[in-house]
Amino acid sequence: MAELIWSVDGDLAGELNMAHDRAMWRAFEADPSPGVRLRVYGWSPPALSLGFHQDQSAVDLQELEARGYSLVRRPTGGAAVLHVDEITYAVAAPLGLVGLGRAVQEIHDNIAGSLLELFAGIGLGVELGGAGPPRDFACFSAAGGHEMTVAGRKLVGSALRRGRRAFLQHGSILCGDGHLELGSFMAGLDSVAQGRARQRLEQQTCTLRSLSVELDQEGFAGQLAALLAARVGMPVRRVQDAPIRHGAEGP
Amino acid sequence: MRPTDRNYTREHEWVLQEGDEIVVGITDHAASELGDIVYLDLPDTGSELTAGESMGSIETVKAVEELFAPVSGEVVAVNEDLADSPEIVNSSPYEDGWFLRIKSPGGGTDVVELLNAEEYDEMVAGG
Repeated sequence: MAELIWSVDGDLAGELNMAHDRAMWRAFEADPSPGVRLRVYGWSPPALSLGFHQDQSAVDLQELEARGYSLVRRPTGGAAVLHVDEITYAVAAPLGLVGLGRAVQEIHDNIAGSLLELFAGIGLGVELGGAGPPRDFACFSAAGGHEMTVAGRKLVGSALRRGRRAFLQHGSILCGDGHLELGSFMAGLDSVAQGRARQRLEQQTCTLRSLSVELDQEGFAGQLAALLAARVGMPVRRVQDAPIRHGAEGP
Repeated sequence: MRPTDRNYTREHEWVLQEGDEIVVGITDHAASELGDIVYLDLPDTGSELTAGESMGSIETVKAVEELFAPVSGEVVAVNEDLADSPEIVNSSPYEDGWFLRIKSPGGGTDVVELLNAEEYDEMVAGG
């Protein structure tokens, strides 16, 4: 029976998070039977994730190592994100599922629709971002049309990978200020430039904490699961194990 | 009406036979749906491709997608202009935005299913 399966995986290492996300997507690539997989998670230790094609030479690997942070590459596109204090979600499903769609913009719009409903339900006026300025090293320096802002400042960044039969879309909801440190891990920046990078991100982003909103992985996941399930017309089932432990393909 | 001098694939690529070489690109529909293209990962000259298998990837401001080889053969040329200016694919998908030239040993017989322009138009219109 088609169902939306969801899990709250807690704070995991970056490599494991990306492996689980890829496994979810590849499971549907291998078997595109109707269904949806949602996982919600955090990052421990903090990690810097690069977009699929992003140049790693822009990263100060020594500084990352010195802080005990990890470097991972997402299977999706976009720019760098420093995952410190955030709620991360990942959705995978076969292409063409009623309620989620097939076209890139359609998938983004449908998932964004459920997220907008979630935020409205907790009294937060979140909007979809505009076209945004040209691509920067940092994901949160600009908001694409499918991403989310509050009063013009980016709260949610997301990215998509579309395969032949299935997609993976995942995103970060900023909870605290940890993402502002991204400039500290950019190669070749002196302290002044790092300060400017931090200032730019500070001006261009907001967080749940700055908006006086308390939300945790459990609360977020339960609500998003229900909203997505209503959108696709499927029952929900919560599981305790992350995707790979369910026997899905590894990375 | 899309160019009728070439064929199309269900993966939204176009395939144009020029002598013993096959030129490959993506359609206007694909370019439009994907959005502004920011990066292309194309195979190197000399690479051997297998029809239907992944041959690289394309990234836009909205998504990353795989590219699939429409025909088996050797890559004999790659459009180097796309490395610095991937947006050419959006502005000129059928002319300046070509991706690869492939030399196929069977004269292009090892191919994925090909559609003519009318069939591709119908496929796109059908959603």
